[in-house]
Amino acid sequence: MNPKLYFRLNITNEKNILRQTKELYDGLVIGAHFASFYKNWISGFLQDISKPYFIDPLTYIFAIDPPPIENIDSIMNEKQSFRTLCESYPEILRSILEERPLIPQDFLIENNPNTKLINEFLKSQFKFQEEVDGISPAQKRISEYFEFESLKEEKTTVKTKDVCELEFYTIPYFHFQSLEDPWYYITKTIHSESIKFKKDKPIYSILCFNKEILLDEKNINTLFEDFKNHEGVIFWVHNFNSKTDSKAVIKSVFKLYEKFNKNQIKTIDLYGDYFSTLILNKGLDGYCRSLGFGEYKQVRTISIGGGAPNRYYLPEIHANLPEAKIRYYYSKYTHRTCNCKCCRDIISQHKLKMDSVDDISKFFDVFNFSLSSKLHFVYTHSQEMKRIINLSNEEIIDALIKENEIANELEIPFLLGEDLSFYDRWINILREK
Amino acid sequence: MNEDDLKQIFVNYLKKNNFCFRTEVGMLECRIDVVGKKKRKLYAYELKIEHWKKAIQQAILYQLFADYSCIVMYKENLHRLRIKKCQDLGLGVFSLDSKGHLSCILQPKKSTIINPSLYKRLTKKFE
Repeated sequence: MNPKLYFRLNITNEKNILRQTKELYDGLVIGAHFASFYKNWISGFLQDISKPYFIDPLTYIFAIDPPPIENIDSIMNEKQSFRTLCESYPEILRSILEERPLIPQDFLIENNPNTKLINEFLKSQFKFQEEVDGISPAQKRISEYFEFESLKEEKTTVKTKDVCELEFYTIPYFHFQSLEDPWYYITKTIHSESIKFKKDKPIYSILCFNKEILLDEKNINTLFEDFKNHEGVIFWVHNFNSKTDSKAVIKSVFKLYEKFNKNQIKTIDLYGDYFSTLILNKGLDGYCRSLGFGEYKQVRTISIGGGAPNRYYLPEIHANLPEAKIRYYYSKYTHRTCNCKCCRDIISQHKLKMDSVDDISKFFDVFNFSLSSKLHFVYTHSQEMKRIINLSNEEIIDALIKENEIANELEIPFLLGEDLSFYDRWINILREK
Repeated sequence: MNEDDLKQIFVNYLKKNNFCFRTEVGMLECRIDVVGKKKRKLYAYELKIEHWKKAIQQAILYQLFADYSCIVMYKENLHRLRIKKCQDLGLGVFSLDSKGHLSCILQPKKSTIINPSLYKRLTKKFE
């Protein structure tokens, strides 16, 4: 299987970027709250974009105690989309959520799993995803009709299009802090119960857990044994950050991916970063990213909108830098201007030469940090991915060594305060492969 | 001595020397401790008791907005600051002792990376 890059749709104004760059990624992740709240908009968008996608059920949000924003009522009120999402849940869960977050006991009867409720929950989630997917076939038929008509009339070959359809089903998931956490038991039961739901498409489990679990190798085997029954697993290692975490943690995450992957189970990282790119085809089959952000994520942070600080992706160190730093970097090293399509277009549109500080300043004056920075990220990151997946392990290591040397020559760690020690950890880990 | 004391003493120095000044000035993601204006020139100051690396990292960014950028450091910790590096980067350095005596260790060089739009924005803070 070719490694896959999925982009997460976060806000509606990302639609044009995702459409404009659809040749540069493989699929989309749609949050279930988004899919339920903007049902019609999403269906139009999916038709328009013609890419495979999957739904992130986001069920964990309703079990965070205390809830990430003040109280469960706040989640519901602040984010209407979560309220809409709940409407697809079984009645019993809906009524609990009117009062409080979900607790493990809601899914247990005398310490045994409440399989009836779990099955209802699964059923509701499959139905929900089928409904989202169900809208697209009709539209697909319409587009097939138009393609047929154009063939008939123009007698030209119509280029085969990407298919906009649900790539696989996902099942509800909750965050577990250890394998003794009751949420682990419930997640495991959700997985085992979901086996009996035979579907026309693959089913992927989502595992969301604390990274410390993986430091005990026995747990990696336990996770594999407990979640090996579907075609794929999506991993969200809570707060795992390959740039700041220790070598031991990064290695253990890598080992987990390998364990599943060696057993022909597809592995996807729900919040990937550049390290995920490096290990594609080496244990990881795909990863998801937001447009520009979302390299790692804590369970307790949920996006409720609001302005993001101005940031720009610096491919030299695979990091998003705030505006002042990026202006400083390019003002100091004017010859290093980005060559991606987004930046090139801005440069040519404004007739900039980019060989003076004045031009660098003008470039960032006209640079739209809320949209262009995302477009710039998609172009540069897809280039990175394309380059990396064609390299051998040795070549990747050499490329990382070179990057680190250049970054140090440019004094990026000292001047910009960027910690680049991750290069050594990554290189060591890849060398051990 | 804490950073507020440092700021108070430094601001008094600017007053005495007929600078217009603003404190805690937000520019992009930066918060400049003190900005002084004299004879149509803008001076940005990063005040630090001890974290000299952070001081340099902040002060170099101020070169995008101001004519001159300086670090004002508590004298006790001044020995840690890499003066040669500051010189190479065009930063000025002041030291301030516990008695409130301020001395200029290194004159700043005129910034070569002023971003005109940001400079204008900082100038407007004095209108």
